[in-house]
Amino acid sequence: MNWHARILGALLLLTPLVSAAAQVANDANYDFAWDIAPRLTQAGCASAECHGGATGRGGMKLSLFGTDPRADYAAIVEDLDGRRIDRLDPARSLILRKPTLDLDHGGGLRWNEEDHAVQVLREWITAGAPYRGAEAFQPVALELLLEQRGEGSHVRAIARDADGNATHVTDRVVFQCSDPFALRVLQDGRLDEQNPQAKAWIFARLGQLDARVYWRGSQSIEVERVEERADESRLLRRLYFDLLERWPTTDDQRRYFAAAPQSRYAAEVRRLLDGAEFAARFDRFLDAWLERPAMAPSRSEEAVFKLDRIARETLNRSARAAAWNQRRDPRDRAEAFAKSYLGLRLECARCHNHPFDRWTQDDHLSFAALFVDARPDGAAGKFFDPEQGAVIAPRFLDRSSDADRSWSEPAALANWLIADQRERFAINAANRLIAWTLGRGLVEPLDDHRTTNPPLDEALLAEVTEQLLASSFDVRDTLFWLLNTDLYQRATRVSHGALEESTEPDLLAARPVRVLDRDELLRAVCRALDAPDPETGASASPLSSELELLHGERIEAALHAPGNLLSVLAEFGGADEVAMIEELYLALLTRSPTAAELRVCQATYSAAPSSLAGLRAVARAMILTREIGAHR
Amino acid sequence: MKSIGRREFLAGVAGAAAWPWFASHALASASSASKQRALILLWLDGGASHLETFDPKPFAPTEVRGPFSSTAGVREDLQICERLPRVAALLDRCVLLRGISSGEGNHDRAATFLLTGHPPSGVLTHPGWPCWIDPDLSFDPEAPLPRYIALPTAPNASRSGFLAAPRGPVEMAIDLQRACLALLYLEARTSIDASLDLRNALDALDGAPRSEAEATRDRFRLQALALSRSKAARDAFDLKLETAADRTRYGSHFAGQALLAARRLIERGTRAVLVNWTGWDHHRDIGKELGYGFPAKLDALDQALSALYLDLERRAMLDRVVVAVATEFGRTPRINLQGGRDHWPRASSALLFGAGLKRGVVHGATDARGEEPLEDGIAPSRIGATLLRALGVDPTHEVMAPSGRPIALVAKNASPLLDVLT
Repeated sequence: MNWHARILGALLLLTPLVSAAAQVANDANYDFAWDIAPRLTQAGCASAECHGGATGRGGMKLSLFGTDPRADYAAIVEDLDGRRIDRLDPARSLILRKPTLDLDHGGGLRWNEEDHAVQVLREWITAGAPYRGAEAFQPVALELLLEQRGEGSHVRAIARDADGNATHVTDRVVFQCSDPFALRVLQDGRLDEQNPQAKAWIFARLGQLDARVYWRGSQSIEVERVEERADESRLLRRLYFDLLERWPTTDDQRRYFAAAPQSRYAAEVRRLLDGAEFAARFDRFLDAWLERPAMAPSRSEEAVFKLDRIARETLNRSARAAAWNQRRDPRDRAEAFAKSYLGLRLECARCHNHPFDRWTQDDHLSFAALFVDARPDGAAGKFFDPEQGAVIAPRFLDRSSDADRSWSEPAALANWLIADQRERFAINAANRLIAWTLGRGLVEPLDDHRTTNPPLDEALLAEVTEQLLASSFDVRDTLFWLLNTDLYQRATRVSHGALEESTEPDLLAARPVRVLDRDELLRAVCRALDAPDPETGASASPLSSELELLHGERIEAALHAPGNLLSVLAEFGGADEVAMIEELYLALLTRSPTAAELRVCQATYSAAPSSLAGLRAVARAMILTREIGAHR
Repeated sequence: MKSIGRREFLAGVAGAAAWPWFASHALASASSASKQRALILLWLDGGASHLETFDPKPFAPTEVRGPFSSTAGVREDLQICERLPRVAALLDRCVLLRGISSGEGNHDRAATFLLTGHPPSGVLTHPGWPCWIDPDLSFDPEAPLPRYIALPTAPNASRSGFLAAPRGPVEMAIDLQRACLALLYLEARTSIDASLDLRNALDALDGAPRSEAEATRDRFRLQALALSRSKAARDAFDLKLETAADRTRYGSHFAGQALLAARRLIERGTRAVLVNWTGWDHHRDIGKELGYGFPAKLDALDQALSALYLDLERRAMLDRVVVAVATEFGRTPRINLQGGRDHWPRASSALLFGAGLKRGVVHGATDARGEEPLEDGIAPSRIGATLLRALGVDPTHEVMAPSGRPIALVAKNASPLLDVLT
């Protein structure tokens, strides 16, 4: 021990004798849960690698990230007969000597003698190490403020009690940032910009309280929102591809533009949603979302477009077992269920609790216990704690006990999903419908709804969720509403010169452009050219996709298919090359060519030895363009 | 309006530093290529039976032993299926792994475990470990070829995962129908020059890309065109340039020509070639499926694999090329009622040879019926750890995953099998 601390210790030893009155005041002011535990958490003492680990470290065990202050108080003040604190000589407390490296400490130096945290702990021990003083500050809310001070930016955390009194707590909250590549938040609240062009959320936690604030990098650019409606033929193309995975035929386009302009868009949306082609597309959407087996479930007529009934039927069908029995570990099944149906990544709680996450390891294990196979005699199977060996009682998330429920009773799972988790299921479904139609979810990744990954626009997600609930989970009604919003009908941003990754507009600023994958593009091209659907299935790397588009057999087959649009045009188009090229443009790009485009296409067409060869050369060029592969 | 010619179109991107290998000039110099280790991975997709390949049980009851016996050999532990005699003759120079064991009996999940080196996770799509052959992403700007190629397709688990797409495999189909055995997609059947010129003109009229996604696709389109126009690249893919004797030695079947192509590509600067041989999922008539045909699967495997070994030896490439034959799981020790075998992830096997690997080593063993490993099984993730180590890559090296979490190249508990490494 250095001489400085010795003297300080001696002085502190005298303190209770000289100032009993002061001690009473101190005693009343301290609160372990708000003043002490958060400082240990912030210093990293309660992390999984240290004392927060499942078995603690070096004989001392704290709750992970300080989630259980009562237990931590017991560990510090009561365990080892209270040897970790020394009320008579606070400076000699193990809880101070270890982290300041006055004694050997496996975790190394956490605090210096002069750190504020050390002073606070010392005063708290001097005050008798109370769990909660009578007049201790009791925060009920936490807020974050962004400030510009001197050179750099800071975030400041403020806690308020029920009367509105505020106190600074920046020195004891745990910060986290939604994009650690963009920003690091230092312990004292200083912001270390990694990417000044980015934006991110900053979160802070103090005990059970949390708060967040949105941070815009010092060089971040606010992208101007695109408000104008997309060109109508572009919109029609977008609508057809989103709902039917093909572009409108020339007949579709003529019929559409012959109708009354005021009502034709809404009428077309309704017509497409009611058609059989959409039902098939919707099936593929469900297959991808709910991991349904390839075998199509026999959905009863009225349930076809109701998501709650679809979920119930999918869960109830024995087919589900086939899809999920590939996962032997009940935890894998529970995680797969949570991912699809609730949009939750429960697996994060498999290894340890996370400071901002709602679900604990206990929640994860008891939920997994619901997914244990029934025993051959029909009795519910048991799930044993993989580490401790004890039987885990099954329990749904958010519920206190469900010992009677089990995997062998899938109706219980469906009931819980549709009744208890109605809101969460609806939010997840709404976000998926948004991603389907707008190209990107308000929450991304789609299966990662959590506090530290908030939606891009909470009000908008709530509005779509409200629509879904109001229509009793009817997908067609909700899509009809969504497709008629201004948000869906907006134009994409027109060329904006040099592109930088960080200026990519978000979903709200402009319609995102999606690039079709090889099979999507090939299928749409074949349908537009009246050629047979290509064989699809295997995915491919971007480079081999491009190589195939250049030289592959499937393009060749579409261009040479007997009776395709090209051969019909060549046979009946006569000598009117302009009309033929216009027809190709309508079929492949849903628009007429500009004068300049027409001119270059005519040149290529005329250079070919025959009309059919000319049309093939033009069509092949169009299939290779940037425009046809981009869903704008 | 000025139309942009094909050459100008290419010239405009020649300086794109992120895509250096498409510089269409000379091959990588032999010296730079020879310094770096390279991988040839023969993937038997579907789950090849361990009992009919590298872990036969000739003394087990018929329903376990199956249709084939084993090779006679001096060392009992070096006996393999009798239909692999040419490979058997080389076993004193190879590493045999037996008792690769996991709980994953589903194709995708098991393949993920072995090919990514991590247990399957719902949260993070790990890249296939061959993507890590160059973990620092130090592209060789002189190399004319993609660094990682899959023939003819890539299993999902071998793809780029959370890494950017250029780090994943580039698939190249092999055309066995055409006598030339050239690789597909590199030459047009008909001239498409007129269409390419028109395409460039139309793209120019369209203006700049409207999003990062479009700009990224533009780069791949340029790369594809450059690759198909580079003589060096096209020669690398052209098996007609191999001698007739070599092509015959490897065999006129997919496995033979694909492994020959793999050797050819590695010689010219590619760092990893995954040969994806599909059709090893034999739930019925396993004896017929493996033992009959023109050629039979096992005969093709025997011919192609032994030819590859001898060819690499003759060309003095064994000290820089790592070769592995692996599959997602083994098959049920007891033959089922359809005469086939079902999925059995408890006891699979693999064969390795080449750079960084010992010779004539058998690691692990299974019980008398090929049901369970005798001692601790080999976790599938350890195969990747071992092969990365043989390739000179540290499997414990950590990279940042998109969530900002550091991730080791293969799972932390997957240690390399040190007793098979030199």
